[in-house]
Amino acid sequence: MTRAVLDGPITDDRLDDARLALGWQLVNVLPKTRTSPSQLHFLSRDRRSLVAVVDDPQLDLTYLAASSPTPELLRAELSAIRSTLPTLELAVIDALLGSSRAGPPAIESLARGLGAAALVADESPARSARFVAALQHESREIRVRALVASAYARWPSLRPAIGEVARTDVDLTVRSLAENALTAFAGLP
Amino acid sequence: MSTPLRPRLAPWVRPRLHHFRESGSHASHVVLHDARTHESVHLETRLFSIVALADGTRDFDALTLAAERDGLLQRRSELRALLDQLSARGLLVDGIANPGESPVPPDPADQSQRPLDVLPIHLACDGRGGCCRQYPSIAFSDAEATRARVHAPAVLDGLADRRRVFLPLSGNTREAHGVAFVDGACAYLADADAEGARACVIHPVRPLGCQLYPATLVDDGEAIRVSVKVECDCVARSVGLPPEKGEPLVAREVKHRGDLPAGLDVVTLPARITLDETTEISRAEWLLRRARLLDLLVTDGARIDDVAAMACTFADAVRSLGTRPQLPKSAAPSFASLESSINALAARTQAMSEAAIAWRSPRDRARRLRLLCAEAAARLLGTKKLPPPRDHQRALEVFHLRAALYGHQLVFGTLATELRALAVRVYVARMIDDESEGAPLTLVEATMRIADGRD
Repeated sequence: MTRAVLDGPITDDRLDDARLALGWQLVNVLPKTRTSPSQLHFLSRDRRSLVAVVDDPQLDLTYLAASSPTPELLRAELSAIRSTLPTLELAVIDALLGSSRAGPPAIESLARGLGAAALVADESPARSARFVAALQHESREIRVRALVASAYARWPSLRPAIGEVARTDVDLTVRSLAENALTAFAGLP
Repeated sequence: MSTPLRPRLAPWVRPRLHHFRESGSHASHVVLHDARTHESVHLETRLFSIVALADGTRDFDALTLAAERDGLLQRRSELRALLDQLSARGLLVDGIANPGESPVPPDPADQSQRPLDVLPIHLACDGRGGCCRQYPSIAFSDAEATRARVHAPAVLDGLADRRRVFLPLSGNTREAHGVAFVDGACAYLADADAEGARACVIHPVRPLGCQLYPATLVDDGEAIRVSVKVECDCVARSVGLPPEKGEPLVAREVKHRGDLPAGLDVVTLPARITLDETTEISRAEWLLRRARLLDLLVTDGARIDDVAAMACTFADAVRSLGTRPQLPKSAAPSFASLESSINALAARTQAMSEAAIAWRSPRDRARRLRLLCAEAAARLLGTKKLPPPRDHQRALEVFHLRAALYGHQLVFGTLATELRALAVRVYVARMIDDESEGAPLTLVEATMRIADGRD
């Protein structure tokens, strides 16, 4: 399964136009439930790849998750998606993570970068450092978003920082969220 | 009005598929007629195919999936807007149909021995298919639709796909179907030959309704009264025809209700008959009065000079109608006494005419009939004079009143009102000079039955 994060809000019409252009067939619609985001499932034109468009309110992002029987097919599918729909490239995501100044626009960018990195980026020392910094951020909003993103990323290097939040965060609710986030790491080395 | 969670076309919606032959090309669309308001919505066939999938079992997501499966889905926003539009017009209901909505009434088996009482007229069809080209609906049962598709598979390639020839008769029922129209004519009506005759290509398997047309069947508790709708030029041509020149309204061997084909729509006369705003009589009393009136029309009918005036006289004396040994003395009504009814008819035919011009083909007979009626009504309003009968139309007009009384056609509403409405239609018909589409009275009757939602 490989993911791509869509850049900016994508309207239903934009998505439907892409569906028609790419020759996808809508095969399932999963409405949002208490535990899962809403999803649209598509079969690729050759019927060999499955693409899910997930509208995730926790991360405040819409992303595509594609699976194909071979890596070549997967690459081809992702390439077709990127030529049809705007997606966040890794360099852009890292740039968003680099923004750490307080204030609404920067917070929004950072939150977006955290979610996107958790979905599509591999663990690296630089990215982990950004996450840890976000977990200790003065903004409660950023700390919460960082906890949610960390639970998606499940990078082992994040576990100590999350444990620290669970023990010491000034906000008891955030501590509780951190406890929950730690459960995502259960079973990892 | 919010869009239903699991939408379905309401039972009062009559979807009809219309094909248009234009120079070298072929176009089609679906008209959703609202039987309550007489308004219509026009859809491209792809969108109607999606609406047909909305059968009360699918929410929006399931509907998009079903549409996608059938290759019909483009933008979901288009579908959402369509459902919102139909819902705003009251054309959608929620959930699956309940049994009470079935358009096919149960067949009462316990009246099989009730005798048929058939109006003595012998019909000679002119073979021009006028009746196949003037109505917005021609109904087929499920079995009749299948037989037609098998009998004439090439018509609109209907054997391959039922939806090219048939849509649900109302809502999304699967029990009865409305046939598609080509330039306003039944899809199974062939093009005219050199003499103007048009063959029904499914004649041996045509639906019961077509076989019995223009007969009406009403069960009044004593008998099944079989009469005719004076809406077909063949009726006009058949008045006074000797038996050997035509066919009876039902086959001679059909003597009782039980002999009639199964599934036939026999209407039951109400237990109480409304004479005017304040007077009702029992059905039994009405049967006595009707019998006397019919006798008087036979014995004194030749003396009736003006049926429209007589109908108005009947309406004025409705409480004593049929209680005296002679017909009341006919007095011509004033234009003013009927002006509001004429106005209403003119407005409705004008609206129908404008709607028909907007989307019906110039080759469409229904369009021409509506235009003729609208123009005649407008002329009648302009002259402010009620026209006298024309000699060659007098016999048909007398027959019309007799057929209406014979078949209880005027007592499903308020008798006095129906009598005056009949008179107004007769006056409007007298204003039509162009008889190329058939006897004017039949054109007005057919058009106004559609306008009144009696079809």
